[in-house]
Amino acid sequence: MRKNSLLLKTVSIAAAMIMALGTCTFAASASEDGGKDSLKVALTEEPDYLSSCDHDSLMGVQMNLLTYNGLTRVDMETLAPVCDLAESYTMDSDTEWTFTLKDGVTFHNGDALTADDVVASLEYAKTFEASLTYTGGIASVEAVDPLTVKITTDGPQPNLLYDLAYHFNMILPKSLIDSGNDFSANPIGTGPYKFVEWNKGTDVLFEAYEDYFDTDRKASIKNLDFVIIPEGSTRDMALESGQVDFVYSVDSADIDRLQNTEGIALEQVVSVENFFLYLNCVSTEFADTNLRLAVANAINREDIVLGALNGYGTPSYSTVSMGYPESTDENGYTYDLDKAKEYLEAWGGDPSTVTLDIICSNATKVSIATIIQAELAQLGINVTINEMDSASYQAAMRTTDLCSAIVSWSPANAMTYVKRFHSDRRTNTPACWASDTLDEMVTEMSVNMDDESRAAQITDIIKEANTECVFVPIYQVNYFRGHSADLQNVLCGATGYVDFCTMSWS
Amino acid sequence: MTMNQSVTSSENAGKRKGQFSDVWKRLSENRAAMAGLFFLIFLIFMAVFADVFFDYQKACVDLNIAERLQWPSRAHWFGTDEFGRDMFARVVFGSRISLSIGFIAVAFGLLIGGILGALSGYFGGALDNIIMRICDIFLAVPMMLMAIVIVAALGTSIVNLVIALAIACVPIFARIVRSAVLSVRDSEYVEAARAVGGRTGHIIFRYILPNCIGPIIVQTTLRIAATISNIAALSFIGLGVSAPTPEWGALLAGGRSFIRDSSYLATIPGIVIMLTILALNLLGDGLRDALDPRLR
Amino acid sequence: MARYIIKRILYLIPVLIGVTLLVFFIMHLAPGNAAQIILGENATPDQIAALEKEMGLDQPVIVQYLRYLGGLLHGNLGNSYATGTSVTTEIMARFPYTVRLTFVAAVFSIILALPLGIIAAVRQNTWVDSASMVFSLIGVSMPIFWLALMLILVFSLKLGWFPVYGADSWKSIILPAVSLGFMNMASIARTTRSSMVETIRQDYIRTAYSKGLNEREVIMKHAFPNGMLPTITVIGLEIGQMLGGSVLTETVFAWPGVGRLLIQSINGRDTPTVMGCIILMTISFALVNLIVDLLYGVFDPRVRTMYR
Repeated sequence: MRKNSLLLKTVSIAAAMIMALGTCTFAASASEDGGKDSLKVALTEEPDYLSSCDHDSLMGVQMNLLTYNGLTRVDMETLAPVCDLAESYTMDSDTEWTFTLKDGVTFHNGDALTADDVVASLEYAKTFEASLTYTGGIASVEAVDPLTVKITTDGPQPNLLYDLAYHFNMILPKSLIDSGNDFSANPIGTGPYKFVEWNKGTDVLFEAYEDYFDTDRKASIKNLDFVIIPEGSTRDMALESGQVDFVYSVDSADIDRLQNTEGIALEQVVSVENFFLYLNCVSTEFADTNLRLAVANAINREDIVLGALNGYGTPSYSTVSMGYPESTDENGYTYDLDKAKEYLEAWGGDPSTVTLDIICSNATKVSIATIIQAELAQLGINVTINEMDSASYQAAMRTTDLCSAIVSWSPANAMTYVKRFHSDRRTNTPACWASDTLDEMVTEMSVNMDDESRAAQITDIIKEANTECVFVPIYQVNYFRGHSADLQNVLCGATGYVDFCTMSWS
Repeated sequence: MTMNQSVTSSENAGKRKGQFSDVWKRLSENRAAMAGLFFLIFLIFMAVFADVFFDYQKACVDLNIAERLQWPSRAHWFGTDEFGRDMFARVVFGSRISLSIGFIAVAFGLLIGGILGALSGYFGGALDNIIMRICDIFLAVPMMLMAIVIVAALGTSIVNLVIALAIACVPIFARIVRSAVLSVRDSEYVEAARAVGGRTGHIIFRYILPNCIGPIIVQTTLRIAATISNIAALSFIGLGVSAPTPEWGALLAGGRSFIRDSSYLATIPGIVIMLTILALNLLGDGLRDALDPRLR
Repeated sequence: MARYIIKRILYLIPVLIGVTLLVFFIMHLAPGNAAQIILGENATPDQIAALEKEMGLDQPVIVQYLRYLGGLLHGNLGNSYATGTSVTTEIMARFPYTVRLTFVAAVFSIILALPLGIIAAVRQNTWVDSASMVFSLIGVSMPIFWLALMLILVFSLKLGWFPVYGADSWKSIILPAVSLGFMNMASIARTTRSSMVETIRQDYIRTAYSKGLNEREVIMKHAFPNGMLPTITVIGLEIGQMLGGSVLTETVFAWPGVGRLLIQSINGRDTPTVMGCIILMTISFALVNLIVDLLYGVFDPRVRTMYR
């Protein structure tokens, strides 16, 4: 009898606990209802930071675009820099710029934007070592009057308007910088959305900022809720079931079906992000240009797009993505085995002695490498595939022992892109290709303040990079953003970001 | 003296022989266990003779993008994958990799765990204490998490996978062998062997280990099953075997994004893994019942 | 009894210290430089060296370990390499979710496994016995993430009964808990079966039958409470399995628990977070087993008298 009552007690305690769990979670779900003034967005991963200066990640920048503004921003449609917090700017000389700020801009904490905030923010950004590529060119910033800022650069900086749009240089309130605010926990800026809450591991919430300065770009959807769903199939099923309204990245295997699903719309953007095969040009046989050219012409990129991306990608035959005004595929590559064999002959070595060990940091890269493996077998080159986590991958990229990797990159403009061909990049990727010709061309271009002739120089650099085959381009990514068909004016940029300000519910 | 010893051991051997035929008789009456055994024999046969049926280069490396994602048909019994490779051939070659990793990892675990357990049980005292406390530490971390940490730290490769999974088995075998050793350590025939001056290693291998063979066999089959399922789990989180090696877990994990429109890609390896683990478990359970007839 | 409890708790301490030592040194084998990971790809060697010095990474491993252990005693697990925030905060935000998931999964597997085990024992050596044992084995055989995706496909998408992902209503815990609990059904059912088989043969059960009680009463009132003991132990051990399995379930269902954080931080080589997750899960596992042992003491008078 005694044992029985004990058992009874255990069972009833367990039952009570389940009930408690049930009720406490049920209360949370009941509140969500009413008219559609909110948007639930499924992200692939959680942003690490909501601050502007601590990171350089896609998700982090996407969040930064909601809460902060820079003096300029990159227009998502044209990829050109346009004024944002700046009303206008003048170039006083090759190194001196004057920016006039928009009047009546306020931060989320109520502070009015002044030139002092700009000075404080740009100087604050320079204290972060990782930002130097984008802040290093700015020699000094001074407030001329409350709405005028003068920026002096060290040498001509044709990239300044792009750099100012970069998230490191977004404008924060001086008062909070001075008080040592943690901008990741309390991201206060001038942006179209105010930060509400970050439930670690679950979601990040924002609400529209009523006093946003740019009336054309004022948010129409009141609440944004970013949830994190790491598994691709789950993300797409959540969209299909209506549990989320917007999926940041649709799995390519689901594109066909979602395209034919009623009530769901897909946005396709041919991005400037390109995937390429990075080859060690320092300590392997691939230091020989002819061998690289042989590889570049032996890869059937159509097959890669079909096999690894289910057909949703754009084969790339030039070292710099098509889509920038300066892009060209002159001196580019084809899929031509005979030509590849000619290059192999010109190289003169025995392909069976070459082993190409490709490191990959995710499943898509492994798929790409798998196809490359099969195709290079036709040249007699042996390929091995080495999958690793992203941190080990990054570490391996910095060594000269590295043989090869699948790499992707999506800079906002062609100028930033071709700067990668300069040998000073070797501090980060020590085994990359470098040549005196390219160094000279890049150095000359990067101080040219004349837009038109600089564009011509960039195009020439791309042609030269193709001739020297700095790496082997594979394809340009097509971004697929899926959303409820009732969502209107969805603008997805070619650099990977989505404009949540312009969206509205029909 | 020597005569005495040989009598004991041959008696012992005779007893063991009789035991085995009893066990086999009981096992063969267990239909579920026999089904498991036959399935495993079939799998091992396929794994060993895979090359006779298929060409590895053709099945696992060469691509045929034009024939990608075909549902199972007469030409491709298990369909084709996203690169147009025949899934049946890949599953067959996969059995070779998956079963070998499973067997080798458990064999290493058994070897190391067995030695540690035998030493621990036989000598007792401080050695026993040290070994068992270390085992406690390893057992305190859930096995799957331990494997994740080891593979993550050492990097993904088949060798590291085997190391991680073997380490996860060591404390389990150490405990089993130790308790088996303890149960016979002070028995009369071991005392006798010791009395006639038998070497320790000889005593352990000749007299003690054969007596714990039952629980070890059972645990081995169950561990192989658990190991195969752990490899699949590690593949899912990207810590498994790298492409294009057709390991089952990798096939299953690779098919998961096609689960909606080409569900066979994940389902077929899933079912094969399931049947294998089921077979191993049925066999293990059958062996346990056969070895311990008290329960039946 | 109090002595027994204290002894058990004291015994936990060296084991847990051993676990931290073990995990710390395994993680230390990993290639890659922590300062590099924090500073990102643009860092110069000087900056990396400076940060290494600041973080104490230039000191011997043993010194680093002792510092870590010192912090751990104060509940400080260090700062995440990825987010710069306190690992303790990051983990504690997610831990309740993992506890909830594991608990419901355990309840689910018990609810399913006990009847299977009891029926199998009562109908020993019949087809009912084999069928329920095979059924329970299917659970342990099925790859957990495959089952999880299939459950979403059928119950969320086709039938619309449960949400696809998330943790915001009582409905959303059902599918993750089922896929996680299914895995552990087999060993619980099996243990229940064999201990019940043994119990049923005891004299007092025969006596109960001879008193004219019906089978149901005998099984539920006399055999079941006694046959429960080994089952409780197995449930404790299975919790460890579930903590490991939660890594997969939480990823598929986007459940915001510690398992998902672990995967995320392994991918980012965020060593302090990885350590924190493993240590927390190990402590939870150890506590569950402690509770199981104590329950055992409550249920089994023999254990109680041993430590009186």
